[in-house]
Amino acid sequence: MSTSNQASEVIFNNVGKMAIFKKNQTVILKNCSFTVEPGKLTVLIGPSGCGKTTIINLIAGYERPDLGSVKMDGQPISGPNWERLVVFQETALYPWLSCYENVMFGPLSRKVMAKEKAHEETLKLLAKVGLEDFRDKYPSQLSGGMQRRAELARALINQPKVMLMDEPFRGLDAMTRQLMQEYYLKLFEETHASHVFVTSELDEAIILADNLLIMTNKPSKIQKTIEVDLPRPREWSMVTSKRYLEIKAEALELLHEEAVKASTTSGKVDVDLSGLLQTADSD
Amino acid sequence: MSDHTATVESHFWRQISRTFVNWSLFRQIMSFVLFLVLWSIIVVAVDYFQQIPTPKAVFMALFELPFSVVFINMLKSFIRVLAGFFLGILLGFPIGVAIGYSKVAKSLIFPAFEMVRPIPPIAWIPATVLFFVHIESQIIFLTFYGAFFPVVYNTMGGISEVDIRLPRAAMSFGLNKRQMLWKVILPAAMPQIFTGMKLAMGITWILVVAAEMMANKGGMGYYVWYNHTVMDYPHVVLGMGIIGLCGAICSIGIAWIGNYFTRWQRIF
Amino acid sequence: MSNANEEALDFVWQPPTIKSKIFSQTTILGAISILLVFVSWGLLVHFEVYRFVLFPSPAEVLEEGIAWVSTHVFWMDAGATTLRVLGGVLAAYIIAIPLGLMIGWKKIFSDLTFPTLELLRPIPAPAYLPLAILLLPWQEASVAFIPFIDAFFPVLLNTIVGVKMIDRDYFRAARCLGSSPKQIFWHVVLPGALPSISSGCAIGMGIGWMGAVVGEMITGKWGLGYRIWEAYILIQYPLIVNGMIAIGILGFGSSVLIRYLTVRLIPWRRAITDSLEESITK
Repeated sequence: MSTSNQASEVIFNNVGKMAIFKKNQTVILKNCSFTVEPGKLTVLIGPSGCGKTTIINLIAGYERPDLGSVKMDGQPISGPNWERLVVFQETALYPWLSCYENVMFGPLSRKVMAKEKAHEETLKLLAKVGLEDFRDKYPSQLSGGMQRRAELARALINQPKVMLMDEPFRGLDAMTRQLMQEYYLKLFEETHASHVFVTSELDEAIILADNLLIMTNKPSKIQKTIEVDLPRPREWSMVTSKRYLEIKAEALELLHEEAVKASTTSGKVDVDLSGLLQTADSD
Repeated sequence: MSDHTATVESHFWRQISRTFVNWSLFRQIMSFVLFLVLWSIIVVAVDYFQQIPTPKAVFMALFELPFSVVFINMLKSFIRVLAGFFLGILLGFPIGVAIGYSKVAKSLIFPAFEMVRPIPPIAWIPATVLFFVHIESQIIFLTFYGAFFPVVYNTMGGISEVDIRLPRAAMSFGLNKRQMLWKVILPAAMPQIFTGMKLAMGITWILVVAAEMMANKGGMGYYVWYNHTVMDYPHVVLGMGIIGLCGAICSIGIAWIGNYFTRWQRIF
Repeated sequence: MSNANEEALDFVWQPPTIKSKIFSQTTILGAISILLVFVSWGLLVHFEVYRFVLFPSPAEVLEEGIAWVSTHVFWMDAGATTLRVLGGVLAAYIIAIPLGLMIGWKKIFSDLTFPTLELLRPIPAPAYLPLAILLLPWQEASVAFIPFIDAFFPVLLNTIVGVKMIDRDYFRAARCLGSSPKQIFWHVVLPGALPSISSGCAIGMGIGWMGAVVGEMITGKWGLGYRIWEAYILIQYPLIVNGMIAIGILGFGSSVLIRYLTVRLIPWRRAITDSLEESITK
């Protein structure tokens, strides 16, 4: 996919971040450096609780790095902005607004769009994510998959330069999840934004990613970047291709290493090791 | 085998009875009947409770109810309750919003409130008598004071427990602080704000009755107390019933308004 | 990409010292907040603003308060009020909690009792006073009846809501594991409703104090509520304020006690958060 002038680059340079919880200091990120390439889909994968959400929060501007710098197009990120939008874990739609109002919320609040324009755009986007028949429903009346799609639409209408996906498909059943991945791939390939996608599922990671960043356990940093050079548009049939399996084998080995390290160094094993091993066996 | 047929048969009859009779509703009606019967039996059969009026006596008293007197007393109580309640919201709501939202406001106001709050509003009666000349304003101050803290605390609680992702998303969308408050934080806190209002309504009725019993200035509390002093117990019970009815009307009203404003919550 | 700085950047973090805690914004503002109440009270009295002429100054209140606390009368009053509150509220707990558990758990039981209780609930506790006097000529008991009624409904409703909020799957799981109804009651219904019961009990205790004070003001011969009313009639204004303070402290103490006792029963309950502004952006 070609880099357009709309896409942005995000650079993490030796970022350190700690948290203080009940008088105990935990280092979440340490010497974390990586680049989100413009117009590419960067997937972060690592053991759960390793600070992936922290990275999302840093890019979104909800948190500041304690050390190092996070820059977008050369400028340090100073706070939340519509250029960097998050699709949250589970749903963060406004429950008191209908689906339609939720999508219009951003542009109308910023007053960057006339009402008719916003209405038009909203309908177009709702149609794109297949929710045109549900525009007047409240989020609590939508299924999990519909909520995620509505939230995608709510972010996309703002035409962000960087989309941040924080395990957006977590908690969906396997079938819905796969459908959502297909929807998402299609949307990504149509938009010209840089995407950061956080997940803990390897198949999802590889099928989506341009760059696959494998994270270490806490204190986290990027252990390795794997370039996923599968052709676009992606299809699920690619999971049986030779290249896919090579990438998967490499990633599995790295993740497995981390998982073992985590389970031996800290008492709490919060890595989904069994799932990883099972997939490794079946391969 | 015969056992099996018996189950099928009983199942059949159960289906029939469920189709034609709403047993739950029947039992709920029976609840009232049971209550009245138990009440009558206790009063008639147990010597100790002889002085309590029977349901029949209360019902008969209804016919000699001085309607105009009761109506004026009711109106007085209503005005006192609603005046205090709305004053409580008028003052309590903005303060609750401020301490729920801003850390500085919270650390500046909250400790003083925490110091005063444990004193039950009733204990303010002698002090209000000192401060306000007219009995009417004394009672209204009392109901206001009773409504104030539930509104403040629930507004504050509702706001400080808003799901953090909602205001975060709003910040990303570029809302300014004022929009954030009106468009995100208040709607999200609305269910608990109405919980506070419901609580406030209950407390104002308790206070109004207590104050009227002491004040000799009319109102349903006074009506009940007056009938107590003249030993007319059927009318005491009737008065209690009317107070209960007024209280219920107010709570249902608030609940109804609350349901309207949080209707997104109830649809599934 | 400038990755020149390869060596580890390290965190320097020191736990907050006692000094930094004392001089933190929160504590300073909190102290100002409380100070402001007393200062403005003192000034209003000193400059005789409006009806504050009648009002005692903080110093007067303190002086009289110390004298009062050392008298026999104070302890009799405080003891009487506390006993009435505890008697009424504990009776409410004993009746309302099992009743609430049954109403929340069994539909039949709920149908047969709940409508009547809903009918009685809107009647405010003070309205029961004439009946209480009639029924319980023993004056202690008739005053304790008001905190009983006051505490009864919050405890009952919280218990019912607590049971209703229990995940249905817990009941199913228990039944699959072969639990008897008795076991379900003790291991699912009661612990599941406990957090809600706990807050109901604390609310009940708070309102119970209000009930006792009302009862004492209207019919009492003893107790803090009676004392402040008497102080008003006898124009002993510092005593009014001291009485209010004493009621506040005792009421607060008993609520804290109830909360402490019940929270110990439910170690899995989560803590409450800070103000919103702090947590949106760290």
